[in-house]
Amino acid sequence: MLALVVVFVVGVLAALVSQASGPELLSALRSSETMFALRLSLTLSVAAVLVGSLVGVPAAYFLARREFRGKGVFDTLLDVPLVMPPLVAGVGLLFLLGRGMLGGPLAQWGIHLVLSPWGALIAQTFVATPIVIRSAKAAFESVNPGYEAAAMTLGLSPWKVFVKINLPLAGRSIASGMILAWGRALGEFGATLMVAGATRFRTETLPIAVYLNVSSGQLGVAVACALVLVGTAFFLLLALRLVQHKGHVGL
Amino acid sequence: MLEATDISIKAGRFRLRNVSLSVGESGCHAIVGPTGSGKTLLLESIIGLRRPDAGRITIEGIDVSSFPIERRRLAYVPQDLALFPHMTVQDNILYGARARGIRRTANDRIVQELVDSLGIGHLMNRRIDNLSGGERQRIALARALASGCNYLLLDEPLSSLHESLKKELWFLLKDLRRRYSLTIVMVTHDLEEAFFLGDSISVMMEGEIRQAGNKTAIYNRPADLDVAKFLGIRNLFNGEVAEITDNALIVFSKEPAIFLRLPVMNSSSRLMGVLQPGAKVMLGIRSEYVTILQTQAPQEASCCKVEGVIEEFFDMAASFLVAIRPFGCANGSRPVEAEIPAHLFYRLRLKKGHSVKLSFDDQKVFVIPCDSRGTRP
Repeated sequence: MLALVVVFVVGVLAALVSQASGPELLSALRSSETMFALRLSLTLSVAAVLVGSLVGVPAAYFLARREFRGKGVFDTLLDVPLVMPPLVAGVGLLFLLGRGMLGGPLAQWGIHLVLSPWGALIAQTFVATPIVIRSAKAAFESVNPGYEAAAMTLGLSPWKVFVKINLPLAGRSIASGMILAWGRALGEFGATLMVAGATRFRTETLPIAVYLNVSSGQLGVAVACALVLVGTAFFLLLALRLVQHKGHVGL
Repeated sequence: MLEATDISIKAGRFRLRNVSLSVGESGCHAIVGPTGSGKTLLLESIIGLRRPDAGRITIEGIDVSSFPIERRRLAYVPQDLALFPHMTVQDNILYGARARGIRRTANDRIVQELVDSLGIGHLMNRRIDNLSGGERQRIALARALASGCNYLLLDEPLSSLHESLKKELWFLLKDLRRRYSLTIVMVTHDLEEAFFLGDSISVMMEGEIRQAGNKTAIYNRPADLDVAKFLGIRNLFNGEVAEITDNALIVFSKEPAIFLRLPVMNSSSRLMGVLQPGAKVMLGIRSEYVTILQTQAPQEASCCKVEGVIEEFFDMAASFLVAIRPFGCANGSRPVEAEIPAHLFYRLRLKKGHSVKLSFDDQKVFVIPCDSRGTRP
């Protein structure tokens, strides 16, 4: 069974590579379009994870430590983006940010989110944040609340306890969550397509570049972008392993 | 002086009801009680981890009820110690002192002295995960005390340690208390520990303090049947008040057939007011206050002697617990238990089936009115 799975994975990778000749692939990798897509993808996905963590980590701490009415419903609601088809999320975001709802008032301030890289950022943040929250919540829950109590009796304010006790102890698991969320944001296609559209050299992230170039028959660039995506994902997984492995030693 | 007054807390289905306690300066108060009696909840409310629904906590006359934890200045050692796993021993110990902004030099002196008296100097650069239980206990104590707080709150401090280490730390705690004039409130289910370390004791049951006060009084005179049973007293007999005179309470029980004249001094004046002749009571006495006399021994003019047969005895190495069935007592009834030193047991050459005479120290017999807690089915 294992061999079957391995053959399948290797087969997919080989099929990708075989679509373009070596020199063609090299020039496609160096092409301005691939470079643009890579830069935009990295910028957007990193930004999405940062925004998602900035909001998600405190939210996760709150969820892990406080009991309140309707917590279960709230908790489940935060999981919805995880199981929602990205395309559906994209349509929802499109309507929310469209002229009919938030888009109108925002346009008066000169802010146009739909069909812009900002839209892509919002779409990626939407899918990445629940992943950060999920893992950060589990991480905070695994930190013995006794540490907080002890730290507070030692004279630390709740904020300092969070920064000096909870964050260091939950840090590795939160980092794993952030890496997973980054991976998800990097490969995000459906929601990004809906909200930001597929405009060359404007909202062209790596997955959208693959889509655009496959559609127009420029397989070289498509394969180059696909390989860059796969390569990045591989490094992300490697980083995740490293973080988790260290985590076992440290805690 | 640390005082908790009329603390009430609702935690799920459990309730702490109007609990009060007070510990004088440099005193040690032990809160004992069975698991789930609310001891830890009370301690947590003093520390500030739980906000009581009602009641007041004052430290040296200052009402700290509304103070956040970090401003109460109470040193706390939780049951699981909660030593920070991501720091070295030294960082753990210095943590509180740094957080409170204690000056480096002063800090060094306090910490150095603490580290020396706790004997943990050689551990300072170690990580927490590879320390033994006893080492962790000492470090937790050092960390709690390093910030210079004089009030120490301990939650089941030594419950996970083996006997010899536990006793060693008892003496260490006594020493630390004297050296730093500590006022201690401790929660424990270990009675020996409570009686060794505490000056005063509160017995908690089902969210209430059933009895509080001087440890000797609690040891000898439990206020109700639940407390008596919790303290391990098994000699409890149904009795009745025969007469009340100016200076004595005269009580008797049928099984065993005893008739006791209890001096007012010892039969607690509180009882004199509530009891009437004919009132049903429980009579109790600790097994170590029941003396075994040989039947041939010359008669003394003592009012309370019971004769019976040795039914069973239990060798506890230093002493023997001897179960005696008084003559005329039904087989199903509980025998009288006497704990006597091993050397006496051997000298008297006691055997199963021997007839013996028992003497009750009437100064040590206590009376529990039958309408008190635990005496009703």
